[in-house]
Amino acid sequence: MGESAAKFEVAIVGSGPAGLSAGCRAAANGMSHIVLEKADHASDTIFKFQKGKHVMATPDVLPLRAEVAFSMGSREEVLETWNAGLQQHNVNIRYNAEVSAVTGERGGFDLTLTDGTLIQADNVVLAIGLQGNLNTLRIPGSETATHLQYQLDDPDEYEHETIIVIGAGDAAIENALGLCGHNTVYIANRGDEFSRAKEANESAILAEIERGRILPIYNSDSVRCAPGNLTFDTPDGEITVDCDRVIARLGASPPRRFVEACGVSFPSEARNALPEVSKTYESNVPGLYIVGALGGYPLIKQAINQGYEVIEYIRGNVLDPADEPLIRERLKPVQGFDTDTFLAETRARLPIFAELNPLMLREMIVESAVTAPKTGATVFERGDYSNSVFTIFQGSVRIHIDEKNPDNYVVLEQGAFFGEMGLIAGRPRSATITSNSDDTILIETPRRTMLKLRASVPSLRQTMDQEAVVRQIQAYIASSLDRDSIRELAKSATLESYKKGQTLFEEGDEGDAIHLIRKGSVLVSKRIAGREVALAYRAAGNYVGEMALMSNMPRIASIKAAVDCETIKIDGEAFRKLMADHPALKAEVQDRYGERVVETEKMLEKPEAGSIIEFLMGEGIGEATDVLLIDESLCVGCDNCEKACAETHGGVSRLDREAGPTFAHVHVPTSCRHCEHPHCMSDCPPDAVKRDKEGEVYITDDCIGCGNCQRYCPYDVIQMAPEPPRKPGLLSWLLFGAGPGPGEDKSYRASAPKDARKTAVKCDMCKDISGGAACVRACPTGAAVRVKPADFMSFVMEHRGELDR
Amino acid sequence: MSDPAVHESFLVHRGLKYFKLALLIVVAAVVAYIWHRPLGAPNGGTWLGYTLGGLSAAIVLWLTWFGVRKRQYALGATRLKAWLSAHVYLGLALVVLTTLHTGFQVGWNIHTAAYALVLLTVASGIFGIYVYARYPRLMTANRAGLTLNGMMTQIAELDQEIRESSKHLPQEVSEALLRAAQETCIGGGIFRKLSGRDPACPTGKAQRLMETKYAETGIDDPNIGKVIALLVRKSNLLRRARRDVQIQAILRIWLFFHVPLAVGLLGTLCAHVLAVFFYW
Ligand SMILES: Cc1cc2nc3c(=O)[nH]c(=O)nc-3n(C[C@H](O)[C@H](O)[C@H](O)COP(=O)(O)OP(=O)(O)OC[C@H]3O[C@@H](n4cnc5c(N)ncnc54)[C@H](O)[C@@H]3O)c2cc1C
Ligand code: HEM
Ligand code: SF4
Ligand code: SF4
Repeated sequence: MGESAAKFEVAIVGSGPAGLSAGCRAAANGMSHIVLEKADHASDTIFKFQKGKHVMATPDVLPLRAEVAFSMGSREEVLETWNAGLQQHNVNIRYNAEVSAVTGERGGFDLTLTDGTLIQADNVVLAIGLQGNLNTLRIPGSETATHLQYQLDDPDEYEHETIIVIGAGDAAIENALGLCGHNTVYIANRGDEFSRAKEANESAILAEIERGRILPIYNSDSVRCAPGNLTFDTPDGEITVDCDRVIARLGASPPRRFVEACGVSFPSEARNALPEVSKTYESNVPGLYIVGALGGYPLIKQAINQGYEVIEYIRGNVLDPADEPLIRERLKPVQGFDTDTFLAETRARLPIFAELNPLMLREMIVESAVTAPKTGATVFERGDYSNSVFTIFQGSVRIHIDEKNPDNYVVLEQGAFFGEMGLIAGRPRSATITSNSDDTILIETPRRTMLKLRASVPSLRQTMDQEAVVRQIQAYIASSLDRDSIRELAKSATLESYKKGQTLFEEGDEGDAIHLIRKGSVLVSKRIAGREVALAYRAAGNYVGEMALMSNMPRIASIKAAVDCETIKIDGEAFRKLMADHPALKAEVQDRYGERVVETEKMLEKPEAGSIIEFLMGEGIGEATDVLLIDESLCVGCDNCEKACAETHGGVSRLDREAGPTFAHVHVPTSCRHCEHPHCMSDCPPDAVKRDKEGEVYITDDCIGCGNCQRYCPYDVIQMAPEPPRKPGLLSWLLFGAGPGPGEDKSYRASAPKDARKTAVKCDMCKDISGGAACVRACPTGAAVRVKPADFMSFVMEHRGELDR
Repeated sequence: MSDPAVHESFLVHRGLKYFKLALLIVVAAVVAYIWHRPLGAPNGGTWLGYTLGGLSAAIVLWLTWFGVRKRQYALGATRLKAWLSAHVYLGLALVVLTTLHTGFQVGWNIHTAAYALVLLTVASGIFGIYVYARYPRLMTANRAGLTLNGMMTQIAELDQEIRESSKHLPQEVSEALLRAAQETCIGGGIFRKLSGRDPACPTGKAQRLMETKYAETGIDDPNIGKVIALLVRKSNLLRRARRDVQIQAILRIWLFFHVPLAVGLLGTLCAHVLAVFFYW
C-alpha cells in the first residue's frame, strides 16, 4: 500500500472532536500526519446523536483553543463546521480505517488496520472516545449477512417483517417492544430471564411475552446465519428461525482492552478508572498520547482543546494549559499562592492527593472549590446531604461531636480530610464542622471527581478507606471508645460488598461477626409458619448481627441486601473482647439490643406490616432519602399534585401520579426517590446532576441533554423534555377560559419542533420554593405524603390497617 | 411520624382543629340568638342579624376563594388539605349561621333565594364528602393494580387475538366479532359514564351470540372455545374499565353542581346585600 512506505510524524486515531482538532492543528503546522477514522465520516459519536440534537458548548468559562470553530448549535451545524475545518486545512484523513493494533514507541510505531494495512508513525495520538465498539455476532455467515444489523434508529421504519432481536439488556428489550406493534418479533436470550434490564423494561417484555406479542427463544446461542434465517443452539437441539431481519444488541465493549493492548496501563480494575497520562497527555508508552473522553475529559470543548495542545506538546512546545484561568479563578479566595506552588503544596501536604499525576491534580482543582473560612465559620452542618469531600490544605477545623454543646469538639489538622461519609454512605453529614483558625484553607472536591479519583488512584482509596472505617466504627458503634482501641478493632474488620438481594447471613447460622452497614440498606426477616416475613429495614449507619453475638445463640433472623450494599464486617471474637474491656460499650450495644428485641416482638404481632415493607423495598425505597407515596384510600384522582408540579416547574410535571405499583392502598407514583447514591449521577458529562443540602437530587442548567441520566435511573423518573410554551395567567383562564388551564399541557410535546432543545427534567423536591414540596401542599385530601427513611417504619405501622379492610 | 399531621385525611386534620372552630362559632351564634331579645321578631335587621349576616357573607366569600387558592400552587406553606378542612367545617357552620340570620322568616324573594342557595351548595358539598370518603377505595379495588390505560391496552390486545383466532368462523359470527372490536366503546356521554354499563355493548352481544349458537350446535372447532374464553376476559375487563370511568365521573360530577351553585350563590348574595341597603 502507498502509505506503508511513508512514515508520518503523527498518526491520530479517531476523528471525534479531539482527533479532528489534533488533525487540523497538525495540518496547520505543516506536520506530516494522518487521521484514521473507523466510520465513513468524521466524528462518529456526534454523528450518531439524534437528528437535530442541540449540542452544548459547556463549560462556558473554558476558552476554546483550536483551529476549528465550535459553539452551541444543532448537531448538523456543528458537524458542518467541522467538516469545513477538515477541508480548509487539508487534513489527511482516512475513513473506514479502524485501527486494530498499535505497537512500538516514539519514533517507531506500527498501526495495523482491520483490513491489514500497516501505517507507521513517530507519534500516536489515541482519541477514540469512550463509545467503544458494538459487539458483533461472530458466527459462520455473519460476515456476509445482509439481514443482520447492530443498531436500530427508528422502530417505526419497519412493518410486517419477522425480526429476531438478540440480547437481554435494555437496548434489546426496547427495540423488541418498539417493533412488536407492526412486526412479528422474536427475542433471543442466552438465559431465561431479563433481570439485567431495568425493572420497567423487564416487566414490559415479560408482559408482552405472556400475551404472545413477542416470542422468546430462551437459553439460545446463535450458531449459524444464512440469508433469510438464523440458527440457534438450544437445550432442545438446533432450531432455525426464518426471518427478514436480525437485530443483535450485544452491548459495546469499552475501549479499555484495546488501549491496554497498546501497552497503556490502568491503575485499577474499576469501571471508571482512567489511563495514566502525564502533563502532556503522554501515557506510560513513550510517544503514545491519550486525549479526549478516553483520557477522562467528557466534554467536547475539552476534547477540542486537548487535540490542539497535544500537537504542540509533540512538537516540543510548552503551553500554558487552557485551564489556567479556571485554576486562577479557583485560587482567588486564597492569597499568596500561584498555581504551581499551590499544586505542588497540595501534593506535599495532603497525603490522599500525594499520588495524583499533574493532570489529575489540575483537573481536581478546576472541579473543586478552594475556600478560606475564618475561625468559627461553618463548613457544613450536621444533617446536610451534601456529598463533597474536604481536605485541609492549611490550618485546622473543629468537628462538633456533641450537638447540644458547641464547645465540645475535636480538632482536625492540616493534611487531614473529612466529609467522606457522605460520599461512601450517601447519608447526611454526621457532625457540624467549623473552621478552627483564621488561616484555614480548605479544598472541597465534588462527589464525581472524588469517585473518579477513588477509581483511578488506588493509594487514595486505601488511605481514605482505612481512616473511614475507624471513623465509621466510632460514629455508629462505639462512640464511647478511644481511638486506639478502635484502630485495634478495625484491624480485624474487612470491607464486604453485597449485590441487591444477596444474603449477609441466614437465620440459624452460627453468629460470628457483626456488620456495620456503610452503604445501602438491608432487610431483616424471619421464617414464620413456613413463610419469610420481613421484620425491619436497616439503613446505612446501623449495624446488624449483634443479637447472636450478645446471646451466644444462632442467628435469629436473616439479613438480605435491599439494594447494593457495603458493610464493615467486624470479627465477633474481637468485638466481644472489646466489650469485656469496655463496660460502657457493652451497655451501649445492650441498649440497642433491647430496643430491637422489643421492636421485633411488635412486628411479629403484625406480620402484615412486613409485606408492606417488602413491597416498598422492592420499589427502591431502600435506597431512597425522600419518596412520594400516595394513600389511595384518600386519593380522589384530581391530579392537583401533578398540576402543582407542572405549574411550579416550567410547565412540565416531574411526577406521573397514576403510573407505578400499589400495594395495600400504598401507591408509589413514578417520581424521584432521591437515592442515597443517585444512579442518575453516574455518567453526566457536564456534572449537571447535583445533590442539595436536604438530599434533593436536581439537574442544573448545565445539562447538555445527552440522556445518560435518564438511562441510568432505574425508576424511569427522568424525562427529556423540550421547553413548553408560555400559558395565559390563572385569572384569564378562570374568568375567560383562556389557554389550557393549570397543569402540564400534554399536547405540546407532540407539536414541539424536532430540533427543539431537550433537557433532562426531574423532581427537585421544590428546593427553590418556600413552603416545601408543591405536590404534597396541593393535595386537597391528604393522600400525598413524602416519607423519609427515618419515618418508613412508622408510616408502615400506621398504614398496615389498610390490609384488613 | 415527625409531624403527626402529615399522614391523615383532611376530615381529621390536626385533631379536628377546624371542626372545633366551626363548632365554637355555631354554639356562640346559637347562644347569642337565644339570649338576644330584639324589638319585634328576630330578623336580619337587628344588630345580631347584621353580625350573623356579615359573618356568613365573609365566610361565603372565603369559601369561594378556595377555587382560586386551590390553583395558587407556589403560594404559602399551608397545605391545601388544611384549607379544605376549614372549607368543609366552616361551610357546614353556614347552615346554622344563615338560618339564624333569617330569623326563620322565609318568603318568595331574593333574600330567601340566597338562603336556599346556601343550603343547596352545602348539600352538594356534603355529597362531595360522601363521594370522597367512599369511592377512592372502590376505585383501587376495581383497578387491582391496573390503570385505565392499561385496561385499554389489554382490551386492544384481546381484540387482536380474537381476530386471529376467529378467521374461519361463520360470517354471522365473524361480523359480530368485528363489530365488537370496532364499535365497543367505554364511556361516552355523561349518563353512559355514570351508569357504568352499556346495555347495547357489541362485545356483550357477540358473546351472547356465540354462547347461544354453540350451545345448540356444540363446539367442534377448538378456536371457538378459545374465542369464547377471550370474549369473557374482554367483557370482564370492559366491566372494570366502565366501572373505573364511572367512579372517576362520580368523583368529579358533584363539583359540576357545587361550583356553579357557589358562583350562583355569590351573585345572589350580592343582589341580597344590595337589596337590603337599597330598601333601608
Ligand atoms: C448522547 C450524547 C450527547 C452529548 N452531548 C454533548 C453536548 O451537547 N456537549 C458536549 O460538550 N458533549 C456532549 N457529549 C459528550 C461528547 O460526545 C464527548 O465528550 C465527545 O464526543 C468526546 O470526544 P472524543 O473526540 O474524545 O471522542 P469521540 O467523539 O467519541 O470520537 C471518537 C472517534 O474515534 C473513532 N474510533 C473509535 N475507535 C476507533 C478505532 N479503533 N480506529 C479508528 N477510529 C476509531 C470513532 O468512530 C469516533 O469517530 C454527549 C455525549 C453523548 C453520548
Ligand atoms: C356556601 C358554601 C360553599 C361554597 C361557596 C363553596 C365553594 C367551593 C368552591 C368555589 C370550590 C372550588 C372547586 C374547584 O374549583 O375545584 C369548592 C370545593 C369544594 N367544596 Fe365547597 N363550598 C361551600 C360549602 C361546602 C361544604 C359545606 C362542603 C362540605 C361539606 C364543601 C366541600 C367542598 C369540597 C370537598 C370541595 C372540593 C375540593 C377539591 O377537590 O379540590 N363545600 N367549594
Ligand atoms: S432520578 Fe432516579 S436514580 Fe436519580 S435519584 Fe431519582 S430515583 Fe434515584
Ligand atoms: S443531566 Fe442528564 S441529560 Fe443532562 S447532561 Fe447530565 S446526564 Fe446528560
